[in-house]
Amino acid sequence: MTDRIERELWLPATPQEVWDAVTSDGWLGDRVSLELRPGGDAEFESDGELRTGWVEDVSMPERLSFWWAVGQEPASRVELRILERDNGSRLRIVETRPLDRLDLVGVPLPGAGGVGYGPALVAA
Amino acid sequence: MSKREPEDRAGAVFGALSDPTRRALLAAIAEHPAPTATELAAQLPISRQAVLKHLNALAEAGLLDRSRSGREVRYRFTPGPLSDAVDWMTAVGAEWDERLAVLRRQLGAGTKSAPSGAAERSTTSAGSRDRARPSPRSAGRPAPPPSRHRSTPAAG
Repeated sequence: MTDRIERELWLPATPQEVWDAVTSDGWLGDRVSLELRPGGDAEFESDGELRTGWVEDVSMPERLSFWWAVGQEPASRVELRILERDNGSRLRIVETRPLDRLDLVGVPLPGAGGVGYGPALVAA
Repeated sequence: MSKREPEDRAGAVFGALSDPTRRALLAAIAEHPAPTATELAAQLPISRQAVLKHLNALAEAGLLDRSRSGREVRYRFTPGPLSDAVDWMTAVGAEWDERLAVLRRQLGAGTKSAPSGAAERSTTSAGSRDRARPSPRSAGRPAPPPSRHRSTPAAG
């Protein structure tokens, strides 16, 4: 199990237009350098902060997955999917941060609701 | 503990919470005024030795504060580290909201309107499904802290 962020957005543009926008300078970083092949280098610079990583998989203009990290911080994985939908494109973004130490599948965390813990834990 | 990176600590926190016995222990500690291992063992169907082992794991993750009281050690729940994981998701979620807002301005302004049912969707999870969900309207601004998260324990 991982920490996970998921977003979806429909845009009135073709998948290729969306692809161009999300891989260009100014979106994933002020300056973006992506070597579009599996194992390719990836660099993203924004406000003097450099994120480095590598490309996991590319299928233009539908799918791009890569890993990135700032310095020695744990890396996270980003997956962008672009699908033609309703005369436009649906962009789906998933960023995950694998927590590799322990498997968290099915673990109800405090605050998750439906767990019979005390009010103090739920409030935390 | 405090020298570790927040992301690193979040992993330790979720690891510590991944064990049902440890969660039960934490709940028991949060509900009582600074119990000792002996008192906790009396409440739970596990030995004092086992209780101590789990208490150590929880303390390692920064979820417990230990203080010596006579011959025994008393434990208090310190929920602070729980916020690290939430912080990561809040920060990263806000970054994506901002990027999506940029895209919408760049490609979305326009002639076609979004088809019904094609509204934005956002999900943020840390093993749970109902944590922070920054609204799309918060794009471009830092997401507000999730309402379920409070920094002060209700008991303590």
